[in-house]
Amino acid sequence: MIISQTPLRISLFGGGSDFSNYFKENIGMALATTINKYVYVIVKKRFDDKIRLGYSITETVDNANDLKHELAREAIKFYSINGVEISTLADVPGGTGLGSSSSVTVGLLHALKVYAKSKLLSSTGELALKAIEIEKNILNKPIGNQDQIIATYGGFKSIEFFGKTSNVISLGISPKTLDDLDNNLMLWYTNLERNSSDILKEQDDNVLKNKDIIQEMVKISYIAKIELMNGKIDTIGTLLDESWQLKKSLSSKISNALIDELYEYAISNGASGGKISGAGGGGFLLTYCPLENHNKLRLAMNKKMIKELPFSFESHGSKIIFNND
Amino acid sequence: MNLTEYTSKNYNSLSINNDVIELVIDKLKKYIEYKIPIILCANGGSAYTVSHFAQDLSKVCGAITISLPERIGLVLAISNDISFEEIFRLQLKTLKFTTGLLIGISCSGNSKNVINAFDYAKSINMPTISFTGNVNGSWLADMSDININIPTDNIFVCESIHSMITHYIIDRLREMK
Repeated sequence: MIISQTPLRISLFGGGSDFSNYFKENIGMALATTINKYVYVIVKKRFDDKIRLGYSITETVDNANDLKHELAREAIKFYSINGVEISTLADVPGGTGLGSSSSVTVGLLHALKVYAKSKLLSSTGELALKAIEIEKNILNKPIGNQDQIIATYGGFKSIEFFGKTSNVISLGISPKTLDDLDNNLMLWYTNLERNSSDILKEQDDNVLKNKDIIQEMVKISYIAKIELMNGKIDTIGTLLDESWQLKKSLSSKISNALIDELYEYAISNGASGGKISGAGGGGFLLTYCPLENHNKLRLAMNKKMIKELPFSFESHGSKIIFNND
Repeated sequence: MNLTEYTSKNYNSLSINNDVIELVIDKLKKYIEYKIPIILCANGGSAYTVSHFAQDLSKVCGAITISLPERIGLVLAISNDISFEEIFRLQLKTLKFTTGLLIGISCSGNSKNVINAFDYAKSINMPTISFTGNVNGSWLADMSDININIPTDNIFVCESIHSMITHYIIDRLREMK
């Protein structure tokens, strides 16, 4: 039996510049980090040749082509596997803006690779590229490239996109700076559900129309990167806010009256900036709050029955945590 | 437990793949003969293992070796100015060797700075050999051309066995001269 553990992520700056329609001819840059919340994929041999896949429903099929779960179907077909049971578990439900769909793709490919003892996809880069290929080219999902990359590599990274390539860059940020940043970032569940595909599709369709706005967001991304490398975190809140205002203008679906109200409420109770994590429209709200206001913000959110998801930065990407084959 | 019980538990029952070790010995013999540089990298205790291995390869077998953790100025400068994850990759890049053999040790098999160096070696078609010690498998093991894995979750046992294997390899190379 093989178990893979793949972290979820928060993207701080530059989301939207990781769409290939944008970075075909413009430089994109995302600052993102994996967090200590995970998806687990379990792969186990079956006594017969069928494939059994468990998620919100259970599918048992004779052939991978018959699977309704598109991601799993393509990953299993890639390794030509039969006679397996596959299950996925997660610390946080999907559809909430923490990149779980890509983490599942990466985790599934990783677990299947080790199960099949395959020489294919032997490096982190190759695994990330395959995950991108499956989600974008085969399943035609309107998503960017950063989620699959950060889930595979892990850690706090700057990912640059241009032309046909992405570069994963480790930044020389001191552990103390990262620690302080970690403490000042909080995730709040908005209680609003949404389907990210609609929001992302509108973003993807409008990439060229929104080019100038996305370029401004990339500029902010670079400013934030330099601040962090210089050990400064005080400005991160305001930079997040600037970036969020720009992001909202990309599509009417990214925010709404309820989200705006919650955001303003957080700001007036000590946060200096934030954003909706992921595509927008609901899911988790990320806020930056200086240390002296932590209690104030937490009490205020508690009063409104807004639940916090405590987390910390995770420096590792997808890992195999159990293997008794 | 006393030392006898400790060795019995940790060392006697570990199965090592002899075929893989033969491959490593074969490769090293060739590369030493053709005077191709052997570059080594690792962190922590394993950094001393690779340095020790490099020293024995040079002194006993006449090999050309460079142990990257020993170039402490570069390690500190890259770490301080750029990132700890780049300390080996960047050294490899600046050495600009057109041929070479990269040997890396990582007990977890997941040390980013070693993985990054192996990534770069792959991109310039430089062959790679790794020593790892992960029960569940690891990125480094999968990426390497040849991998010696000691499936243990005890890092001291792992480091000791790696050291023992490097000495065995030197002993074999010595008798082949």
